Amino acid sequence: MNKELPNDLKIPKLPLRERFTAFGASLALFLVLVVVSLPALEGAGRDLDYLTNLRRFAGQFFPPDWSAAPQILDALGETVQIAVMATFFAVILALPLAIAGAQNIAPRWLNLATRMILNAVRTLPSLIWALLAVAVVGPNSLAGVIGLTFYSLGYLGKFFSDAFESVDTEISDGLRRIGADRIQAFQFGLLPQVKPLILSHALWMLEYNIRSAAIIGYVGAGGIGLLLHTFQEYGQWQKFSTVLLFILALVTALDFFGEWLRGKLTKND
Amino acid sequence: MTWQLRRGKFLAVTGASGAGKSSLLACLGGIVAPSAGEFKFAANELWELGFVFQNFRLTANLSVLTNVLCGKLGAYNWRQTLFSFSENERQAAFTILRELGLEKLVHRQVRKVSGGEQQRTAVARVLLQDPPIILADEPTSNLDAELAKRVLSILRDVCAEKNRTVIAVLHDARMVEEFADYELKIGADYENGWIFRQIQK
Repeated sequence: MNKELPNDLKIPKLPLRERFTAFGASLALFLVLVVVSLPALEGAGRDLDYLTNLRRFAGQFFPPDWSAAPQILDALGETVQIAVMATFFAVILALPLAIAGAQNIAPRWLNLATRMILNAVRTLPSLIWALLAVAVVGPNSLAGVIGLTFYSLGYLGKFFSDAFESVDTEISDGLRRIGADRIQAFQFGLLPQVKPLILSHALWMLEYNIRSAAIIGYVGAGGIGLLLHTFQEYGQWQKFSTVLLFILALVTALDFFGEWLRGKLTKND
Repeated sequence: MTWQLRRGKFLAVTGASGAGKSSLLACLGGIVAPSAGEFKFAANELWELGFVFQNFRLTANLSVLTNVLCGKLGAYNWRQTLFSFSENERQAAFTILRELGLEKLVHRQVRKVSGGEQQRTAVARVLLQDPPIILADEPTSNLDAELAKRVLSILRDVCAEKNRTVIAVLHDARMVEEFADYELKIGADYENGWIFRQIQK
């Protein structure tokens, strides 16, 4: 048992450098960041009774006031409409941008320019985009659509770009070699491989937009957020909590539906 | 190495793994530039090439039929193929698929069919394309003996009847004897590293 095996029969040792993987490095880096970020937990520095505060505030939420339900359903419908339209426009605008941003399709200068635009668009949170849109078109649901469209565009553009880049270009290169032109090689060699990813990302974006659409009403961009804001302003916390319950129900339903649909997409497509 | 191949002949390239068979085909196909030497196709023309790639290079999310039709992309521009292929081409593709025993899989996605079926799809694609020169890298590696014979005899007929040239990497010595007109052996064991011989029928 203890007898030393000759070296060529032993499992070769993995060199130290190769054992230090990107995963390990990221983990170590993150732990360092956690330690450095501890001061964020300091809070007000005063001796506040957190529990009493919470109990007092949350107590106003109960019982939920269901009389606002018709109003809430109306606003919820508007929220969904805003999210659907925004996702629709964002997908249409993101596709050409994504192609321009994909390194395996478009020239380098175009990649860099597109990525810069997308990064700039992503820098602004949805609330700020909504604020801008409200300033331009006034406080209504159109502002919500415009705001969320720009916000989603930043993300979908990047996701779609990455999707195009994740596809093996060997297949489209092969089609080029047997005579296909660039557009044919794209249509038959690249796009079919990317389609399921695009659908999946678009679906995720729709879910996300419905969630965001609930918030952007706070700055006047229509939908359920507007109602939430109104109830808050008038201190109608029992109606406020009803709105939250409706949002919770919608988001949960959406989650189940999304999961079911995604399963179908990846299975059959 | 120096050799010439007439039009309408079937050349089998053989040799041990890593001997450079695939590299030779890649050079002929213009996929990599030769590090030394040169080759010419007849009349120095730019001949249309067809490939059966070693890893097939089929579009996994498209159907078997559409993948075969992709062989004809070069005959049309993108506007003509944007929505569909002509009924003639579709019928021609189906006829080839039937010859290769794939008639039940035409609408199946390529990623859902077996390796051997994918390989025959790749062969069907080059047959529909019908180029003057076919470069095939181990076109029968995933097929059982009977199917391999069927594929090779179809390629052999394409040479003889349509005056097409086939250059194929093959492994099975009996298949080489049965179907090829010439054999190019590559390997360090041979003088100069290669032998080019005509196969006596």
